[in-house]
Amino acid sequence: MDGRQRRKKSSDFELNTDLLSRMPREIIENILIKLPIKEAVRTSVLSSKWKSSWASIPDLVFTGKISESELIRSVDSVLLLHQGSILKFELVSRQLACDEAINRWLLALSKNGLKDLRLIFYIFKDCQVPSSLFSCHKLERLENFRLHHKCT
Amino acid sequence: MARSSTENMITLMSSDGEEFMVTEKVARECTTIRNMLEDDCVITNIPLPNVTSDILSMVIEYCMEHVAAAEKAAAETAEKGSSSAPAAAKANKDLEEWDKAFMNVDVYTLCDLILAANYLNVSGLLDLTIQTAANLIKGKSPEQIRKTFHIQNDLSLEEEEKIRSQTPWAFEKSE
Repeated sequence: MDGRQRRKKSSDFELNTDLLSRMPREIIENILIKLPIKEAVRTSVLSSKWKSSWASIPDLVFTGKISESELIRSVDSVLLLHQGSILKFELVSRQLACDEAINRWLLALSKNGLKDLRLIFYIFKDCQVPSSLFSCHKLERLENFRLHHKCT
Repeated sequence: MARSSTENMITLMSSDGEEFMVTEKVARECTTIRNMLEDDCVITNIPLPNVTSDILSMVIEYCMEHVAAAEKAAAETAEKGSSSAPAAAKANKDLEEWDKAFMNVDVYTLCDLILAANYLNVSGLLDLTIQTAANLIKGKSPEQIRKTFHIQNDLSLEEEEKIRSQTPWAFEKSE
């Protein structure tokens, strides 16, 4: 089955219409969710309408080969600028030595109705389960949380 | 109440007054229409004031293809008692290829299809079109994205600079 040649242009469009501006907010969010977080955030400079479109996406996924300091910088600024609920938070990283950062993020996430938390570190290391994890009351799924439990 | 052996036909009417006759099974692929049919089982004529004939014909084409694929898979399962994994994988692959070819449309049509899939609630088509739109953004510079979707940049240089400075990592070249 080959690609087809067809498609008249919709008549009710002018060539210069912002094609995405008539989309409901949730559609824009669903498009942005399909992008790597970095690219979703980058849409903030498209126009004033787009400035904070990315900031209400409910799923935040941080992956990719970035340094620990860049990872901390990016998660911190996303959590600072984000508006609304964050239902899913996923972090894939080689390692993260900074317990303080995880603690800080979980505390912020726990106030936003987090349901799905995945922290995936390739390098295993001993550290404490941050107490803020226990304030994520709506948490339904917790995956690969590679931290040793140490009772404190 | 009783269902006749011949398939029920439903007439869908586009915003520009064109009529499309489809089987009830195809119409039910649209959750919005399925709900209407469940509320009122004698309804046979459904006006769709938000969808033009161009776009409606494409939505119907998508639904027919997907219903046909599901029926074929079900028939094969019934015939052999169980579905063979390689055959099912091939059928899936074929349908994926069909979807891909179906998405070979201009950006205007794509945006109209997203709106129609959202209004009619055809989840498969909505996923497909939204993924296609995301692919048009992926890997592009802001300027290229504006061009693709005809977005007017109404931000001043200072405003743009301020936005960039809030998340500088997002604008750094890496990977």
